[in-house]
Amino acid sequence: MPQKITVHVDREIQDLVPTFLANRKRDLATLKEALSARNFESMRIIGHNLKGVGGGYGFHEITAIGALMEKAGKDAQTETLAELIQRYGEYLEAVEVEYV
Amino acid sequence: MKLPALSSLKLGFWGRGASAGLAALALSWAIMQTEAFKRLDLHFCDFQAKILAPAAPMNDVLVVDIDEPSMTQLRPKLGVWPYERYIYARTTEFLRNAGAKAIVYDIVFSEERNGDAEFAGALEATSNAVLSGAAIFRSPEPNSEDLRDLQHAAWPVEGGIVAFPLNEITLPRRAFLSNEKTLVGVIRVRPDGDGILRRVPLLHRAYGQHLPSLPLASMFAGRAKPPIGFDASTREIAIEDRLFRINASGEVALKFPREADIKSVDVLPFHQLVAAMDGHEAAEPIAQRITGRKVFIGSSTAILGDRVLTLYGEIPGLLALATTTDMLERGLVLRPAHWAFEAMLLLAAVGFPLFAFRRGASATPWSGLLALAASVGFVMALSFLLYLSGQASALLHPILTTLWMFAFLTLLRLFWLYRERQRLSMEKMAAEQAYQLKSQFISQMTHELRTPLAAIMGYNKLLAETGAAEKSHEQYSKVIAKNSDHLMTLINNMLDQSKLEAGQIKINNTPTRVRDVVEDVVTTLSTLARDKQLELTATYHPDLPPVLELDGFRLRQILINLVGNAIKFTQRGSVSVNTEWRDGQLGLTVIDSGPGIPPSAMQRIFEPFQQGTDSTERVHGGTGLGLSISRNMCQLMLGNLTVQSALGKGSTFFVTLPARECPQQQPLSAPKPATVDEKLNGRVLLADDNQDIRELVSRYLTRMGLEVLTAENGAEAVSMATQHDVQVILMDMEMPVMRGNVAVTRLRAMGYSRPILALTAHPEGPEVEQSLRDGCNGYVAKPVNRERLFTMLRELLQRDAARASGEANRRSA
Repeated sequence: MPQKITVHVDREIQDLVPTFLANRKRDLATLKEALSARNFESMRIIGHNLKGVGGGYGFHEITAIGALMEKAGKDAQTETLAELIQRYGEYLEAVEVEYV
Repeated sequence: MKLPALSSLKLGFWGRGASAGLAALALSWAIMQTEAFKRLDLHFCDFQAKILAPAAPMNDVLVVDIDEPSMTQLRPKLGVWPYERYIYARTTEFLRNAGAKAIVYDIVFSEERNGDAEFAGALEATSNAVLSGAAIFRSPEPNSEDLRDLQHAAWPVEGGIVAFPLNEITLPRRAFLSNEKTLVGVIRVRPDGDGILRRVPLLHRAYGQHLPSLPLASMFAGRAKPPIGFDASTREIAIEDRLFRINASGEVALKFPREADIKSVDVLPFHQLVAAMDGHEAAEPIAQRITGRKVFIGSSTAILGDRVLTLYGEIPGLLALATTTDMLERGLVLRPAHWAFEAMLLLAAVGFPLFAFRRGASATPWSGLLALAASVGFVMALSFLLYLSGQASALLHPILTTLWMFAFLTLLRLFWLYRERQRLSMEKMAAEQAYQLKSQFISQMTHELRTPLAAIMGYNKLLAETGAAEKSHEQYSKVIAKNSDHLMTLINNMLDQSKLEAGQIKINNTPTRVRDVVEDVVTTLSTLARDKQLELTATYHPDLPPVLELDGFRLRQILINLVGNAIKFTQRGSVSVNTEWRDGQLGLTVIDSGPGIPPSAMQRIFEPFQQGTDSTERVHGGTGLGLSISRNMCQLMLGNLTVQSALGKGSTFFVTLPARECPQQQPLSAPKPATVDEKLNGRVLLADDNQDIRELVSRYLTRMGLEVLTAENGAEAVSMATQHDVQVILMDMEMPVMRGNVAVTRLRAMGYSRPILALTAHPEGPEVEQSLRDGCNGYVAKPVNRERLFTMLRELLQRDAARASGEANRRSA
């Protein structure tokens, strides 16, 4: 079993988090499709969105990945993107929320 | 589970071993009966014979071959075959004069022919001639003269000797046998089933008389017929000082020399011999090849000569006779192995596997296979040694076959075990997967349950805050709150339990004020105690250090469980929590005056999903996880949780936890960042295409006390800003349909003067500058920092309020 990553999230937004995470998983699927189609623009936009949305919910890693993804999308760096998408998927698998 | 057929016989290890041995024996016996096995067996014998063939240069024999070139060359001189006997008279004399050790004719001189008298004369003068008799039909019944000839040719033997039986015999003409010293040998080759010559008969019996084979007769050429002894018990024929072990047909097994030795036998074409006799060729070199050698005269031509298969392929029968004679003379024969060797073979065959499996069922398959390999190796090595010493074991092949069969059966069983192991490992994997799925299911389910529950609780809170108008609303809300709190506790317990099972709970030791924790627990639960009119007290040991290094969060959880239980089960009296400190151990006792726990339930209460009595669940509810979790937590913190109780006398739970004392000046765990408590007033338009951002920022804004309107793109934002009175607009820059900066430009163009803040994920890029040029009053970086957002909004709203009041003042002025 992979190492779990615990993210501390404010109890106040507890009810928003499941939808947030579901949307992030949907993003992952879209990213994988975009990667196979080499649609860099699509990956850049999603990266941009991730960058904007992750930290607000407490998921700073998502923001970090999003920023890198946006840049790699802009520069059409397929390998970097593939790595980032992999990292993003692993993070989503491993992340566990603890409400504080 | 389906049991395999073998184990249902309930045989022990040795029983199974013995039955495998018997099965191997039966199987090998059956296999040995097959033609294929016999052939394979012969191949093995030949292989052994070839690689162990002794070096024996056959210098003592000379073959004079009436071959095709000789027949062609001698036709003008001798006519066509069969030749008149003058020539044999001459060869006999020439060979005798050249000093041949024996003159052996592989030609049956049975019918009358010109030159017989001369030939008879030559034989008369020769002391070491051997003539051939053939096992072919001559006349229906021999007459008395024939019998006398037979008697003349026969050798004296002891009674009961085993000899190869012949139903008919054709001897040389009587005239050629007048010399006592001329011996007669029977030419008869009897190959094995596969056509290969491996054995030769020593003696033949015909009409009650015993005749030697041509090789045996050739051995004694020039000497008197030897007396022949026989030992029926060992089936040994004794000729002079030699012993020949024979089989049931009177044959002796040959031990072939190397192929090179067989092929190197000196062969002299007949025409060369004739040329030498006629003086056409120098006689001296030819005579040299003859002197001191046994000379075999016959023909290898296709029409006359027979051909014999040997280990080394086909050779002319004439050559086979010559080499066989030499082999007999050199003692290149095999005899059965000594009984001691046979016993060793048997011992090896049984002993090695026995030794390997001496540890019984705990023996590994590899040691078994190794032992089998060792015994096969030992048996083969022994058989090689035997062969080298001229012995052949009768047990060898049955033993080898049985061992191979045993190995085969063992392999079959190993294969079966391997498949069984694979099946089990598959089942194990499936079970592990199911277990993991269960854990996953639980954590997912609890997660799923908690999410709506959180919403229920949240909205209920709102209801409680806003719906105070109706008295019943407040009442309902209390019920909802109580139930959802309870549900939350249950779910949290289940989550903790599944995390404990999966080993995912980690203890996080930080400086903790134990007194604060206990006080917090007592305060939290005091309402509950007061409702039941129970006294809830806490005492603290004077030596208790103010700050200890331990996991305060888990300590609180344990205490909530224990104190909560005590209150739940106690009907009247008191519940007290006592804190002690001794030798680096924190001791916490929770004492209640409840009904006590029956002794039978003392252990059970700490197991998951168990409670004190079966009725407990109905009366008090709960999952029965609290105590199990608490004990597990204590153990994770390297401490323990125990209980003392007697029915009717209350219960005492003891928590002991090792803890390190912290110096007091060490700062406590970082305080939670100050929450934004101040409320703002106003309406904000939030435009962002990302739903998650909208939800989150809306939540922040609502909490700040602001009213929120949302738009999903620039166009929507423009229309909403113009329709509603909003104090501030938060505008994302990257949006579909209409980009944020376009919307800002348009609004400003329309004369919109309220503050607009750009939401941007590129605070460090040119986007910010562009947005300010387009008419934004400032920017908020994504991810949104709640405090920063609050500060900015407060400033803008204050400015807006001042502007509004200024405007109002101007208007009123």
